[in-house]
Amino acid sequence: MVDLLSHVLVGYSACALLARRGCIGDRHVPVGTVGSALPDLAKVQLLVSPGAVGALLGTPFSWLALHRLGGVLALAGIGALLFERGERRTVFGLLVGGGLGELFLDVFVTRAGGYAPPYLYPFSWWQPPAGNLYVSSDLWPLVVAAALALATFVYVRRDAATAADRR
Amino acid sequence: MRRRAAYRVLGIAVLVAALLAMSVHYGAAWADHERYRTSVERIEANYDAYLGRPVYLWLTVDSTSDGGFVAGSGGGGTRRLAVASDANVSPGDVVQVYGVLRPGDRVDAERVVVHDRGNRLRMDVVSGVGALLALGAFFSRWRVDRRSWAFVPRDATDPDGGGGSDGG
Repeated sequence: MVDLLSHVLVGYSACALLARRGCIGDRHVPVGTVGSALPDLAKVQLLVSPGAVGALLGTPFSWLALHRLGGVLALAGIGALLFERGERRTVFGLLVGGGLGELFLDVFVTRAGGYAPPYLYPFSWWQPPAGNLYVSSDLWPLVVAAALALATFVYVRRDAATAADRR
Repeated sequence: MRRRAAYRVLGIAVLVAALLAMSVHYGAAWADHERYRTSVERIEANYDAYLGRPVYLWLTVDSTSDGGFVAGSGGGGTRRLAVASDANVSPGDVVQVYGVLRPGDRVDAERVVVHDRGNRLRMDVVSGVGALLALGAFFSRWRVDRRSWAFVPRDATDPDGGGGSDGG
């Protein structure tokens, strides 16, 4: 996985454009942005070792399930239930969309083994061929994501100002 | 109202249980399904099963030598593997190694991907900034309503969440 800031910036760009088109409200933009970081909750493994949890439960354990389709769906479901009823469907969609966006970008990470992880788990163990476009610690994906977010921010501001002038 | 809250709590509990179940199942099953990928611990537990076969490992470099480096799981395990490779690595780097396991804790690497230690540190810091940014943007638009214990827009009077579009 690439750094979390890159995912957040790409998520922001996509959601800000959707909001500008009127598909979602402005208030939903940060929800989708958080969604684009959902699979990275698997990084909790840096703080809580899966081995320690496994020893506690007496069974093998892996936080990486959070970084798979099933984990994204469950996390999005939990997230949606934290909102009022009228918002849940939109929030769920944005959290799932953001999470899937992250998984899609992660397919392009360079893997020495040649295959990306089985992101469709638990529905399938299929592993797509790795895109081998960047190493997760590379700087350039962050530069591209920041440029995209900045361009989106400027476009959205200008478009909103133009629309306000017309009124 | 109370009944609705009970359904919410039940729904969250079911989804948390599903997450736990997936984490346990994934932890038990990934090595049987993922192509080539394994761990030092699994090799240690059953060396003969992996001997002569392609393996894909994430390792942390301990030391370097002519024609390779010595690396371990980085998770506190004691087993070390000697990796034959001409990759330019330094102690502390995290590496992806794809190669064939040989006798005597050796791996003949066919491909090595290096995650430089400094770059990984920067990645962790940048990721922290990303998390703060996402949460900051979220809480600038949403707050917790203490009556319903749910997130509600900060400006509930405006159907668009307050004000014109500013892209978030």
